Amino acid sequence: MVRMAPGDPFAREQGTDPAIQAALNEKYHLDKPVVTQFFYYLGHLCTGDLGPSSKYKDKSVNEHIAENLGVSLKLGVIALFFALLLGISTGVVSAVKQNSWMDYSLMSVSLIGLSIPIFVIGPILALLFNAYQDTENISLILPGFTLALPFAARIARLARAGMLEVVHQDFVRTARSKGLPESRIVFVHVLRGSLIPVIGFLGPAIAAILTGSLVVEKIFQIPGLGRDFVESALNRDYNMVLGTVIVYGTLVIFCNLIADIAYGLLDPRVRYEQQ
Amino acid sequence: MTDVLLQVNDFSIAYRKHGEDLGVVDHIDFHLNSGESLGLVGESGCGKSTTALGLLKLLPKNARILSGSAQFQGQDLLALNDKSLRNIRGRKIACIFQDPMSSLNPYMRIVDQLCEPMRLHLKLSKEQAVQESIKLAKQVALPEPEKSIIKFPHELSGGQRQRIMIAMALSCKPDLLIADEPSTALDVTVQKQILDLIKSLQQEMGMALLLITHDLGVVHQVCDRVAVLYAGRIVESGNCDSVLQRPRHPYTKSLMRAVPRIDGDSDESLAVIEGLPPAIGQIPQHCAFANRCPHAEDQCRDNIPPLEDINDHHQCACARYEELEHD
Repeated sequence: MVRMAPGDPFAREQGTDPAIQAALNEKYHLDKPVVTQFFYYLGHLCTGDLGPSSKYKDKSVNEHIAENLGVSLKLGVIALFFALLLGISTGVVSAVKQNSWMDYSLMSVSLIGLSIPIFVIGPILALLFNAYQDTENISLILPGFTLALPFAARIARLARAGMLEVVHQDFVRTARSKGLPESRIVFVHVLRGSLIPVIGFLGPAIAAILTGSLVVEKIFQIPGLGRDFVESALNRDYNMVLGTVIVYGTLVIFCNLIADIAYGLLDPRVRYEQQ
Repeated sequence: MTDVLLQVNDFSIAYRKHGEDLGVVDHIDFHLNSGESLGLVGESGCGKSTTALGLLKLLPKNARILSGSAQFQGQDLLALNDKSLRNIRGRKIACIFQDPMSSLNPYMRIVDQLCEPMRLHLKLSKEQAVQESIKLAKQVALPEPEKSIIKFPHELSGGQRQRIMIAMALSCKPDLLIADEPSTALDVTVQKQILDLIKSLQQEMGMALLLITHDLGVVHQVCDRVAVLYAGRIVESGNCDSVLQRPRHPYTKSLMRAVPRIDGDSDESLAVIEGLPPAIGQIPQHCAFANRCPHAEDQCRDNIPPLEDINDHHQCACARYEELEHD
């Protein structure tokens, strides 16, 4: 990913005064060939330095990201929390009440949630809850909720399908034959197996939540990393673009790793042999 | 005379498909005495599993109980509400199922699954239940009980898993054990071990056993009495010795002829029952075997023959059983 990234932005031209341009180019090593620049960058990267920002002269990319990543992460975590909470509970309810009016209406709502893009739902919710009034003290709850909706819808459908698949397996009949109450059967015996498709979806979902956050950050005027990413691309702030991409990439890899570990926790058959 | 533990009368079950009720079990009666083992035998689709699982309402959602009563210790199982039925399941009547591979929860440790019924019904603490689980594992001859029970089901063999199922079923000392083809999915050598285990534990604990199987050899090995099902009806029942040695119904007779004999002529091919049993949901309003029976007469296609007493230990549902005695 990092190798691919430098090629693209350097292909374009910046529209500034040539004298300043030359000075700047020298400062940021832009006067040297792309490959050299790339090795410069890699060298700094190894020490954890993402380089200076060309737009915000007083801050390095590190500082800038550190400042805004927190907000984005918070937003992402809130969104993930809402997505799981809403999604799993909806999925369980519709599976337990399969083919009832409740199941049909919940699944219709989730289909709507899947089909309407965030940039339509976001402003509607913002207007409904007057989120634009208080710009000083920004709450992340509503943006997080907005961001969560499409993922909640997807998770609900996965959880429902997973539940329905597990419910018809023999071991559920065994659980029933032991005299266990229905609640224990659903939450202890059925739910675990049905969450496996949801976990599989979580890796890509977290990535999508992170990248999706830029739209929500724009709508709700949140100073997060997603907004920075868009702006830095528009400003041709190469180091900034690269920095955010690297941070995003690391996060996505990390999240996928967590999802894989969660797989093993949920399904003992996936665990590696312990010697 | 021993006391009757379970008395099933006029039991009918149908599966609902495309808005139509397909009858699978057709007005059957049977009983089971305390401590006795009864084998329900029949070929695939004759309704033997449906009958047994129907007693505890463990059937899929599209199954409907059309009629009948099942008196068990002064209660009608079929009329109980869900809560009362749950108090019987696992505690008074326990089940073992056909496929031990899929009958245990793959996501839970064995010990947690073993403890569940004891904690629920006997109100044992976690430590007590774990101690009991180890005892049970020893009782069913599971190798290395302490180590085995903390494993997951996929780490055990099929026979071991079936032992776990048995241990789980017996954990609350039920009065009746329903075993739905407990040995069918296992290797032949393991089959015998499992059946011996079930039989010895049954005698040790003095519980009754309802064994569902299609294997007459298994019945002979384990059961006191046998009921032969054909297309949702009992065609012959009685003491195991009597029914298997001197079968009276033409269906049972042909079944016995179809059992391979180890001392038989190896060149001789096995007797085959010509034709097919009636399709599910199409039990005829006359003797269901009439279309395949070599002795069928017009009267056999007129009405359903009742299950009549031949003697105290043997009943048969055939209009012509007396004439055919020496056939």
